[in-house]
Amino acid sequence: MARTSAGRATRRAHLLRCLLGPLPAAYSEYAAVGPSSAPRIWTLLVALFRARVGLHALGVSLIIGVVFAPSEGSAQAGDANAGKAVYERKCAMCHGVKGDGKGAGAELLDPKPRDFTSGVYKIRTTANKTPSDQDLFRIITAGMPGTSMPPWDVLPEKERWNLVAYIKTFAADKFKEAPKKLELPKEVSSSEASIKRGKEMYEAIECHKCHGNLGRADGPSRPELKDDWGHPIAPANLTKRWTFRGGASRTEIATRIANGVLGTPMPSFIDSVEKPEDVWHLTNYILSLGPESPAYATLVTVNGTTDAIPDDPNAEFWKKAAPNTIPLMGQVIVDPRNFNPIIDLVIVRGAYNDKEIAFHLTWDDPSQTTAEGRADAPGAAKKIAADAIALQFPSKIVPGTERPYFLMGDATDSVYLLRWEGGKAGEVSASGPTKLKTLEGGEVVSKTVYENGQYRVVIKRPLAGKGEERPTFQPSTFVPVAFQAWDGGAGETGTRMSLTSWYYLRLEPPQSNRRFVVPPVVALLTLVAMLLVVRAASRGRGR
Amino acid sequence: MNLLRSRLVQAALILIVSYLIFQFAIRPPAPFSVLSLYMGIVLLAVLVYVSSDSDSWRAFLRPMHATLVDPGKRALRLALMIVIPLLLGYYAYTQAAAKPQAPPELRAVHPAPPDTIQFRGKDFKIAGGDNPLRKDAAAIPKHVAAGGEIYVRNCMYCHGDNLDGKGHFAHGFNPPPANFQDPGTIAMLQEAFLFWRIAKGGPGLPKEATPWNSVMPAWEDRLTEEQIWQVIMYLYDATGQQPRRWETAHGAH
Repeated sequence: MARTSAGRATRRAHLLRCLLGPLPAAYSEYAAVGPSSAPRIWTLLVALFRARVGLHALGVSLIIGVVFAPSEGSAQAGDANAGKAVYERKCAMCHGVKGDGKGAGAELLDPKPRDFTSGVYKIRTTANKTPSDQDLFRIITAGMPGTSMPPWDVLPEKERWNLVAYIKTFAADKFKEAPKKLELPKEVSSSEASIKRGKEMYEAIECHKCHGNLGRADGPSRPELKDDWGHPIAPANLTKRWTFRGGASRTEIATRIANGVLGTPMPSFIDSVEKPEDVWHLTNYILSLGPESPAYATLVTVNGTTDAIPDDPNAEFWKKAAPNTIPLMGQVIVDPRNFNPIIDLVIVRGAYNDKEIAFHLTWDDPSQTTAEGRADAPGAAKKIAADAIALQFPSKIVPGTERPYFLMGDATDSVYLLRWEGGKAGEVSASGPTKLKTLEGGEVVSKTVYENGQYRVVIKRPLAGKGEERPTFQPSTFVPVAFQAWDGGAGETGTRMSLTSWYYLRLEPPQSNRRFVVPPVVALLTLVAMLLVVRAASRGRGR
Repeated sequence: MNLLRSRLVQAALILIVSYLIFQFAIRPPAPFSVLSLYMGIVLLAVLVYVSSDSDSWRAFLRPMHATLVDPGKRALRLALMIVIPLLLGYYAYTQAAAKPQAPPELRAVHPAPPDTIQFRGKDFKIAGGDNPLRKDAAAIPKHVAAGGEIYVRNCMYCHGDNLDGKGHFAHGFNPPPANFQDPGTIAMLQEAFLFWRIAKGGPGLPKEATPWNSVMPAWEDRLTEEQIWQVIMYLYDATGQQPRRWETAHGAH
């Protein structure tokens, strides 16, 4: 009963959103057109019109959605023979024709593709080792975030069920035991008390040994972790829910805690927690550790201030500054390539005053390494380098869209790097990924904090650049910017890095009150113009 | 219907109907600039139509004029005087309060290919060039299979397992990796064009195609001529697309 009324409430909320949603969307659409040369009123009309048409479309889809609710969810018996053809076309490249996880692409992948002949599956909703058909179907459909397994929802549903039937044939004996459904304890909704209890449990059952004190995958056991095939395996970063292999919903997280991730060092915890419902307290704690999804920035905003800018990365000033989340990707252009980059995002905050500009960078790195070696294990045998991060700008900021080559410039156009390495920032001029020249005599200062698997660094320099090789930053201009990062502890150095292509950075002047002055003036002027037209028209008639 | 006789209503109807046609009947959707150009032409045509003779022009203006002066339309006039300034004021607010957006990056998506390129030190014909590996039909499956292996070890990370441009790194890059399943990409390009793009990558693009921001590597450093042709064959085979042929005038010589 409660369930239906909840369903009705969400449906009503949805309906309301459909009815009210399109209008602001329309406005943002023409606002996004921004300072283009397109006639603005026309844009407004088009946008309003689109909103209305969109409303109808939404209404229709709503009806369709209610009448033809998708039938997905109920398991179907697949045809293994039909699945073989699809498998060989779509899956064999990585998982191998024989299903042994040794396809042509496997070598470069990390995590490795599943070896179906083992019959071991990470993600199950079952209490025993046999996954249900539904579990396999879900992975094929939704993929495994944070791995190379993409969602195959582009395949017709029937074909996905056929694939389920086919991959089971690689280890038929492992499926002899029927899947036994895992019964989760009664759900506990999130509350402060529940999160607190979850945190206690997190420490009591030693989650932090692998996942780290704050869930950033920096636990002391991390370097020794191996999967059942002997490959090194990283614990999940619990603050990045969108990379959870088996999904990030409450039930999915609780299920992973309860029955573990098979083939990995993540065990089942349903019997280790004090009371069964602790699984839910842990879930609530994990959900409290990070956002649901990263809101990636398209523009890096650096806000103006009249105050002094603090060096301390933990200062209150920086907590108030707006974050710009930037995704980083592997460098796969120049040898040696980096197909499995460790640092996948950096949060950038910026501020400037009349003298200097400062950047506050936050990124997760499971081990702190300096040029001398790992901070926690000096003299470790593993090949390591210093952790590093860099902001890249053109050496000279010129109007127009033309920029140096994004990968650290080239022989004709060099770039300027504000580069932090192993605790100290400096300036570098680059004309290619291996052609770096340290710039001497700069006035760059930096301060570093490394805590619980996370770096927070402030890098500061004067607004004005000295000499030919340093750019000068000016308010209200768009400045090309790109980012590079290295996890030295994982052996990343040189061209083995994570990077971005060019973004724009903008120095935003301190908030003006223009937006409150202009609109009334516009409205007033319009009214006056209209009055004049009416007057002119009535005079004309009077004549 | 008296209402339909009104020139003003007619003009409005023509504008609305043509907008609907331009917006929804053209596939793939026309970009905004083209749409506004078409609508401008329609608006001109409508103005020519309503002003074709002076009676018609007067009939067109009459309802507008009436709204402005008729004592009976005072309420409507008043309402408009409130609504229009408010709308424009709100519009000005959204403009003034709008967060700055990154400037648009205009680029040529499929720039004109050069006639010839230098491939590992030798002249290589692009214009009118064909894939030499297609001559031996019996060997095609072998080449496609080899191309698949090259793809999964090099291209998949951006262009995706399913060749739909949704690889591991796709969401981090702008311009995004090409989606080969899209009929607007390889299906409208010749194989030799693809050869040029693969061999020379981002750095080999002309200026109008923003070479500084493309993350496409120049594969001539890594792949042989045969390997590039093989991976091209895989792209067409795996997506079920057909390569475009050179126009006969070009292929004749």
